[in-house]
Amino acid sequence: MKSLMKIENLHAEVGGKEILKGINLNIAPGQVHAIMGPNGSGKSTLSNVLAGRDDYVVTKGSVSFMGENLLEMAPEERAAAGIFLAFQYPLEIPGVATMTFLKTAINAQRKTRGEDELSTPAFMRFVREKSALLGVKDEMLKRPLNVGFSGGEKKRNEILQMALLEPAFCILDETDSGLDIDALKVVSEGVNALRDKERSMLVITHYQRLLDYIVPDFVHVLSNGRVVRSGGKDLALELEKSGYAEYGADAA
Amino acid sequence: MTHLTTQGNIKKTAAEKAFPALYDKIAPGLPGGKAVRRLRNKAMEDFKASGLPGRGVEAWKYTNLRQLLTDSYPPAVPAGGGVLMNTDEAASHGAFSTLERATMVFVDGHYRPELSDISAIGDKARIMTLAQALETEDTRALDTLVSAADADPLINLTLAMMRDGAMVSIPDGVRIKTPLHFVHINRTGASCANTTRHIVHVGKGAALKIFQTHAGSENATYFTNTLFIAQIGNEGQLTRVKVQGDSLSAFHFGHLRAELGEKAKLRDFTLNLGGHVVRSEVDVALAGNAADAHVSGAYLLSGKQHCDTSIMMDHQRPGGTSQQQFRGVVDDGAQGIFQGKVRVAPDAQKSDGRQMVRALLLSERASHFAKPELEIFADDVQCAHGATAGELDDEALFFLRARGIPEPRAKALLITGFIGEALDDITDLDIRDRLEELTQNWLDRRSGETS
Ligand SMILES: Nc1ncnc2c1ncn2[C@@H]1O[C@H](COP(=O)(O)OP(=O)(O)OP(=O)(O)O)[C@@H](O)[C@H]1O
Ligand SMILES: [Mg+2]
Repeated sequence: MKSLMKIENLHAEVGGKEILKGINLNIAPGQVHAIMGPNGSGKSTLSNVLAGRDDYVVTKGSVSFMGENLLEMAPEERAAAGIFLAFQYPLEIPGVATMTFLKTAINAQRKTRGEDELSTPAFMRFVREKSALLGVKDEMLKRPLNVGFSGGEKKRNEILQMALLEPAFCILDETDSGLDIDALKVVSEGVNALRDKERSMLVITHYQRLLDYIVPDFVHVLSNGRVVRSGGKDLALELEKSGYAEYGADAA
Repeated sequence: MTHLTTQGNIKKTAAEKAFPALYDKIAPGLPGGKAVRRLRNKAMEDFKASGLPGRGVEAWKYTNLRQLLTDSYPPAVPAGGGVLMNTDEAASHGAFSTLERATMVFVDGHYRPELSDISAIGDKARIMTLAQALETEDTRALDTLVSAADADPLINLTLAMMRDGAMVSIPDGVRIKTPLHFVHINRTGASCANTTRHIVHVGKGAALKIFQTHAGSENATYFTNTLFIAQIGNEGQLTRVKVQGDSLSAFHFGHLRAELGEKAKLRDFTLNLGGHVVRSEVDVALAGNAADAHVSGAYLLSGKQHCDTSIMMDHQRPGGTSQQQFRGVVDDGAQGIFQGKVRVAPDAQKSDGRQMVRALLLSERASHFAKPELEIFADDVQCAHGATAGELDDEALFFLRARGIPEPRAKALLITGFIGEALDDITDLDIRDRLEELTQNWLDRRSGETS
């Protein structure tokens, strides 16, 4: 199978405690993989390790992305290579204007890839178009990054960034939590609009409902730092009924 | 900040001995007639008695000049025959050269009419130089100087040695749109002193905007001492934006002393970038009812810079509001100091005084001291102060990098954002842009040095 990202026997610790205890995942171009699992099982840890956060220490295993060793790259290099993490808890950054941030990010990535920077008018048009689709109001774009945004607004803003950066590999860490029913639809449509045969996604969620909108090719259950079961999209329905008890959801 | 006592029989330092000797030598050549000479002599006697401020002086607690200042500096020689600088060069100086403005250029402390251009203000204001005012013994100038004399040794030193400066008076009701730029340039490169005093009078309901910039030859060791005296009449408004970019080996003493009438407004911002030892002082007397003063600033320090910002807000009458908003970025082994005082007199009821200083420490050797002080003698007042010091937020840095922004650029964004919190009062976007650009340049230079 052609592979976009291959995670092999990945072990990682944070604060001296082992959280990921041997993860294996193989994600082909165009595929959407969902990850479900109890609180504290390591889902956000996995996404942070993939994005390159340096307080998470990889102790064993490997991750290859487009044939490159992902673990050797700095966070900004991973982003330019096409990794995007929509954070579970997007940060408020006072003093940094949203538009300045967006423009700096887009142009930094273009530059790293050897592309021309976007002119200001072209950038403005691009942002207008995408933010209209995702229902991100102009007034939000004028504020400092995420400052004073509601929980749901922050999540939309994450997906707006994803739409603008057009990454090859999207990690959505509980993007659905905090969204109201209508927002869930809008955001899912935004995500689906990005689905194509080259782009892959790792969708972390607690709720089967999201997977009605963003239909996954595979569903994995993560428990205590390991993938304990994998299946098709029906696995999510089954979990909704049975819970995680049988996977030894211990109080880690 | 005034409270100072004579330091008794402490042994004089080399600088304390050198300044009076220097004064004796140069006094005959300084501008002014007999009355001015008496004023100078008195100030020098006071300086001799007090000496330089040392450890025992509260207002100078963190800036011990007895230790830091080891020598006197002879006054810079006037530019003589040789042209030291052409008009274009002078006009391009200072941070605001691209903005429309009138200029008064001081090279090594001497006013240079041929490099200056005040035509944009024309006859809407009365403008002369301090040297002219001293030569003609202008009464208003002398009165102002006498009233500003006090026990502070640096003020006394300025008074004794003052050479030149701007005397600006805006008539009642006249609001001047074009900013007036005091350009200070150190040109000689040799170790020397320049001592200026500006006296600005803003009439009732009048308005004026001042840029004040300081720049000097790279690595030159010099001593610059500027006292800016501002009197703002009832409902008048003065805005000052100062950018200090002196040589990293220079001693910079800059002092603004403002007196506000009823409902008068002061908006003051200082960006300190240069200087080896810097004392940046603002004293505001809210002398009329409901006067309103916002004093803010930022300092970006590296190497072994020592920068001391000392603010005094003196609420003398009821209903005054004051704000102090400062941000410091301190790298390497540099040291930032902030002393801010709010005093509320017994009958200054309904006063509102706020103060906030935040420092960002970019290295383990960097340090910052903040000393807020409240002296409140009235009961119906609102005062608040806060001080924080910390490092760059790792999570914010990761967030930006995870979006593809390289680390140095991500840091720069966060630092610019941090400084931006002190720029809230600067509503003129051109000026704001310039200040952000200066911050950006500083950051670019820093990352150039470390990468
Ligand atoms: N900085 C840290 N120091 C110590 N332990 C940590 C740290 N960060 C995470 N952990 C621990 O690692 C474990 C996994 O956390 P993680 O955030 O990956 O869980 P999760 O699966 O995303 O949970 P949730 O569904 O609640 O979001 C938890 O037990 C958590 O307490
Ligand atoms: Mg999580």
